[in-house]
Amino acid sequence: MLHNPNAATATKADHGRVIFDRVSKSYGAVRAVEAVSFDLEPGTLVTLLGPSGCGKTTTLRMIAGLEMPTDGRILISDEDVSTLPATYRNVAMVFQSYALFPHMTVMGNVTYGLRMSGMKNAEARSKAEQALEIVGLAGYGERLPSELSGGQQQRVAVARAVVLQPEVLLLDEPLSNLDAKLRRQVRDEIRALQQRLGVTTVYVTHDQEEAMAVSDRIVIMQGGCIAQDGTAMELYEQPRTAFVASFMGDANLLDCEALRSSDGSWVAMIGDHQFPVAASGVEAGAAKLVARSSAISIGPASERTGVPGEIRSCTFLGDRVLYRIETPVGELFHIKHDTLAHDASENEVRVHLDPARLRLVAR
Amino acid sequence: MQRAVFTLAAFGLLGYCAMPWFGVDYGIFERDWIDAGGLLSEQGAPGLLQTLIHGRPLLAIPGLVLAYVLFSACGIGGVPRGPRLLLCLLVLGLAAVALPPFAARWLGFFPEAGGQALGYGAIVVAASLLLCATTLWARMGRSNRDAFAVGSIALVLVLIGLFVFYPILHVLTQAVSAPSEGTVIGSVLSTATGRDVWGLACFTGGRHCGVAVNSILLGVLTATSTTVLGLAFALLITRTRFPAKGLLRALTILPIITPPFVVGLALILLFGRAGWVTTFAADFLDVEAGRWLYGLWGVWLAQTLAFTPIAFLVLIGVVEGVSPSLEEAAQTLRADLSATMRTVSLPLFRPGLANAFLLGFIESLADFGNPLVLGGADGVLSTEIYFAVVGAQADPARAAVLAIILLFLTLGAFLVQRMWLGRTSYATITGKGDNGARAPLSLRHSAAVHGLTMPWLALTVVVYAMIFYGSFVKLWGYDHTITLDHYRTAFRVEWLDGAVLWSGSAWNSFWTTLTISSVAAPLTAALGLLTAWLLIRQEFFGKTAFEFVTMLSFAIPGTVVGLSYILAFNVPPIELTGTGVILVLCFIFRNMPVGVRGGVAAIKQIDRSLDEASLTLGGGSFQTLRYVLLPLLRPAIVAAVAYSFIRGITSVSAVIFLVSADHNMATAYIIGLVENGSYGVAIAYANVLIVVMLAVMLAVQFAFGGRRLRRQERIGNALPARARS
Ligand SMILES: Nc1ncnc2c1ncn2[C@@H]1O[C@H](COP(=O)(O)OP(=O)(O)O)[C@@H](O)[C@H]1O
Ligand SMILES: [Mg+2]
Repeated sequence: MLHNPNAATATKADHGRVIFDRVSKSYGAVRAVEAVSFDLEPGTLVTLLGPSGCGKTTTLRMIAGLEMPTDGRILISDEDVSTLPATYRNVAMVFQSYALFPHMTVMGNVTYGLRMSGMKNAEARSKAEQALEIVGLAGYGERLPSELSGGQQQRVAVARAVVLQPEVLLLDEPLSNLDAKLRRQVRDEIRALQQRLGVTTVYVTHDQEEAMAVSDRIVIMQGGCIAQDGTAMELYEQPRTAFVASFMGDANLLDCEALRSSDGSWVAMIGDHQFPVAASGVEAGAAKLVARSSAISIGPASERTGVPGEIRSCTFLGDRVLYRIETPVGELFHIKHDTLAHDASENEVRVHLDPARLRLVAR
Repeated sequence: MQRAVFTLAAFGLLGYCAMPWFGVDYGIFERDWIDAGGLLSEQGAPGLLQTLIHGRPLLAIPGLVLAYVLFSACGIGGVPRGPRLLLCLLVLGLAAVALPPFAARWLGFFPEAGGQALGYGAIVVAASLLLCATTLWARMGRSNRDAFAVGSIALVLVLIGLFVFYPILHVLTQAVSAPSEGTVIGSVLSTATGRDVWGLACFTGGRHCGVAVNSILLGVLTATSTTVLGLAFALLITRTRFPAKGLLRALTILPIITPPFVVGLALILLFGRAGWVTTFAADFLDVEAGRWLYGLWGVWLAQTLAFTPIAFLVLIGVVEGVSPSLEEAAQTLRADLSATMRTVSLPLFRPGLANAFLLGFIESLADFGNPLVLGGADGVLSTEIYFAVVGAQADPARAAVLAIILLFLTLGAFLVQRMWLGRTSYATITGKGDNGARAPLSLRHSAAVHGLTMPWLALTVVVYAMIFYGSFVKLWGYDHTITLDHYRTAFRVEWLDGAVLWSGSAWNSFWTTLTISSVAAPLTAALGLLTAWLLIRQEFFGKTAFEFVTMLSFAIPGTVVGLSYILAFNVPPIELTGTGVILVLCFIFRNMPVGVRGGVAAIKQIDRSLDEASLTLGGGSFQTLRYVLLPLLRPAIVAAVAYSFIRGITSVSAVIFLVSADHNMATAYIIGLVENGSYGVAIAYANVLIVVMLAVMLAVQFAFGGRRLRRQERIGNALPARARS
């Protein structure tokens, strides 16, 4: 079996640990990555998540050694590799475009890295066969990449990377060239493979659902900086900025005034409406109130509590109904999963916000 | 890398101890050399013996440096191994090899180092020192620790410096060399501004203009006519229902495989004093047989015939590149066909037209064969340079001044082309499925296009028919019996006492040409592709300048190259005149830009992520080049080799300065035949060359053509690479 012997037996706990220490990268005047620091636990899968152009690929390529940082230090397995080129790093990468060598067979591609490090042909072949078996492509060795489907090509790219038993495995938007149906399947396979091999993995994507599904930890990037990092649940439940809140699943973001009462509890003031909030991520003052759909519930207009609201539109989406509700504190969206309880005639409602699920973030 | 340094240094020491340091008069494998004392003679002694026995203490430095590097690389002797120290030593060693001979030549220092050409030993030692230095530099963590890339950059730079710029420098110094009377500046100025250079007499009723004026006039005329014809042909192919489009495209390869002056020869057969048309006009129309062909007009006609396909190739790309939807948009906006052409299409072609014009101008100025064959009394710069070297009043200083004028004109045109047109190209290949239909030509435009192209087409066909027919005619204009005499004279093969006797007069130059071209072609392709790879895939300081310089060497006219080589390599420290090596070098560095361009285009098509994949998989840059890029570049490599081979056979201008009795080239030999009036043999020989080149092209096409298409489809990624997001 292909197992990273070092990862299993390492007495040194840092095998596969990736540390960024205030790393910056600029291309001329463009600052692609700015003072990024993180510390990736060995054996975990960490996702770099963020919108297009936020510096994810650049960060990944710096781990690979394809770009050198203009500032800061990079450590892999406790060794400073800041200026070490890709050839000499024990890191493997799955490219967004797969980058399979079109003139080599699948076998040629998968054995390439082994041959480069001087392994004998027969040994390389047997290793490659194991790797192909792991990704479910046993027997495809003699085909050319152009004779494979997109999903199969991607598996070859993964096999080519893991056969080297790298300290760190890098994946740049590995699902972006696959059709929607395949994505979920491949994503689960990648996660299973990663856990089986126990290899530190950095995964780049701009899709938050994908990120939440595969990661041990997510690093959200924005404009070349880290906006926040943590587990999927932490980021979803306790975003520190409005950007993170809106990027990790949809949320209503309302401008408010954060007030702290003498007993330590928090209140969000919007106009003359007050909403108690269980926890705050900010100091008192101007802030944004994050209200996810799950924090909102709707009651009949006859109720006294809550905020009055008027339903502007409701869109039937099969397994759920999407409401847009006009309230004195701003327009809110709300998703109701009980489609049977949906009554299109009722327009006037009362809106309730659950203090335990509200959160205050910086403007 | 330790091992690489060790191997390099060991090679260097071998060269230092066992190869003649200076150039020897005989090949080192020849008996004569052994008889003359071999390595033990003063001339043939290697660096070690030169130091110890022949009193050249300076040569101890490279030997000691190499020995030190060797010891430190294998870690014996406990010598300090700081890379910085080693690097300094290597640079010192390199300086000790290279500086004294050049300083002796130019500044008069180290007189004991001058006077002798550098030989194999010196070359091996210098290369070893240079590559050791670049390898160490890379080991110090510079340049991505990529010893191969650093070494390649250094090597390419040194080679271009030595074989492009060093010779040009000689032209410059020759121009300002002390004249026999008067001051340097005075003589340069009087040559450069003389009436025979810039005179305008031909406009004011006099007989002849100055040579520079002739060159410029001819350049403008040729550029205009080739551009207009090229555009007409491009339109004919893309916008009309002309039936024989495939044939037209096939015709465009003719100038590639035709030695340029052959067109001039055919014109002589048609319009010369004994030409067909001339005698026909004299006999039946009673028109006085004129000599108009032997002058600017004749050269212009020949150049127009020879260079129109080049303009066509530029313009067909432009015409096809403009998206049809723009023209469709114009038509939906109420423009009729003429108005669409006038207001949308032509303005979009404009950068392409300017490009074709400048190319035509450069080609015309650099052309040597046609002016030589047809120019008569109207000299142009390129021929005048030649006559100033080989003519009765051999005057290299004048040749150098004229060469500088020519160089300025072509470089100026080249710079204009790069700077002014570099940015403004509207022709775009978007990759979007543009499936609109091209606007057909309006009736008037269509008539004009046909009116221009059909006569030219007819003339081309007649010209090539003449080239073919003329080689079988006994004595053109007088005795039109069909004969194989000319072929027999040139290519006779006899059996004599059971052995083949190549008794034809052309065999000697024919074999030399084939040998030299086939030696030069792979080297040209290799150097060109290596340079292209450095330009596209490597980042290094001064890359833009490097690219510019490489492309600049394309614009140096062959005549100037020939002159510069003969001036630079006639005397130590690099003495090559009369050898085959100088011809090979000349071909390599004249044709290298073609390889670079082809390589750049091909490498750009290969997604960079393939390289990066190889690098992350542990391949070094050499392995990436060797196992990933080269197999994908095979079509480009084959094309570059074939093209350099063909250019080696057809080129005249530089070669004619460099041929010698031992190494005569086909084109130079044919020019000699023309000068003696042996048109029949000359044309027969040219025909054989054309057939050989055609065979080479077809063989290449046959062997690699089919595969190339399949391969190209697979280049890049199996999936279309998305833009990095
Ligand atoms: N080679 C380059 N030259 C100049 N700018 C670059 C280069 N590569 C990336 N950038 C810029 O750096 C920023 C981050 O790019 P990237 O890391 O590719 O973003 P993404 O998060 O979408 O992967 C972008 O603004 C991009 O334009
Ligand atoms: Mg990206």
